[in-house]
Amino acid sequence: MEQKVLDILKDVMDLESVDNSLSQSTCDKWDSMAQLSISVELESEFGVTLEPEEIAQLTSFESIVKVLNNKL
Amino acid sequence: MEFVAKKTVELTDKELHEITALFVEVFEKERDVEFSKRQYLNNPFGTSYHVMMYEDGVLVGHVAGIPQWYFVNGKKVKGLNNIDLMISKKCRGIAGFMGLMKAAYNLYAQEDVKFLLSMPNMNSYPLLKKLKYMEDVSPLTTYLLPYRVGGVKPFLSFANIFSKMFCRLWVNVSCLFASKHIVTFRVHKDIDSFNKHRYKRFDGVYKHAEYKGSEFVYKIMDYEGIKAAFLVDVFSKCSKNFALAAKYILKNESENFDVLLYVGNLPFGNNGFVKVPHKFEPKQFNFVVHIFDQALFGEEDKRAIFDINSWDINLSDDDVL
Repeated sequence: MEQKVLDILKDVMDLESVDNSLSQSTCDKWDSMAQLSISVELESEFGVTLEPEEIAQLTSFESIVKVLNNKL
Repeated sequence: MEFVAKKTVELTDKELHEITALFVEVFEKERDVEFSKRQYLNNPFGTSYHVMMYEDGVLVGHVAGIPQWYFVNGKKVKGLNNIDLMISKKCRGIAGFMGLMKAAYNLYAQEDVKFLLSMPNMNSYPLLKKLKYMEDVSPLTTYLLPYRVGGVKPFLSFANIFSKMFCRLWVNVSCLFASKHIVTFRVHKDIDSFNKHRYKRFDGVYKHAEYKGSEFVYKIMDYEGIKAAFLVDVFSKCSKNFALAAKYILKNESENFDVLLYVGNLPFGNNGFVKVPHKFEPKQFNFVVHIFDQALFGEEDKRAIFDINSWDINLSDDDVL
């Protein structure tokens, strides 16, 4: 799962490299539109539906994994 | 992040200046305080509702709702046009957006607003939908008459004589055969109270006309470099009245515009206009709503309310004209 998440982050934000430390505070491209796009890709990849409160938490790789672990 | 809710009449001069300055910063359009006052104060309630978002004492976000009287299945209720949703670029984040909308919805509910409608731009539309603040009804449709095609595409100026002939013929034939059957809608504005105030908004430059029983409002303006006449609203909706409005504008304003447009939903054809397929529209207006009072709509209405044909809706219900 974690590798899939990293792949999504790399694709959505068109990044050259990604790692577990990636977050909104370390990546300029991680704005609200990117956050929305990430949520759409996660829903599609993992077959989940994310609630608005969960979408608001998608601000770092770590928090994404935490949200998905709660859903799956 | 701090959120402050106020009515327009409670705003200080400083707050009104700050809201106006934020608008100029975010939308990169000209606006002054007098324009803001005209937008927010000219409605049957004499005020709009605002939520302001502050960070370290600086205004970084805002949303407003302009109230109107509407009839829903014959019952008079307060509806709201959600506008001027803006967040400074340096502060954009979903948490702030959600905080702003949550505070706004609390304010609107306190003010007994039964539903919201909006035509958000492409920055806020995906957020409003995905975060479930608004739900799609339908994109609005653009109807037009390309009176002088050379005004849109200069290299087609040679064809102006033909486009003018086509438009006049199209409109005259429509007038001959158009239906006089007035369409009714589940949701429509209280036209008397609406018209008293609506056309004092924006720059206040609207033309109200009556022609052979058709009563309507239109506006001539420069629209993205094109001389456009917008038919803003026709008060009684039937294909005959639309065709007559088009005929009047062609007859009386022919030197002042190149393209005549109407944006809304017309559940009838033969209305004097040409319907533009969505993929060719110059701009898309996504009509979205949020229903606060679900009990207002009966069981059979709950899905019908998301059918565009339930709504008497056009750009007069929004703030872009």
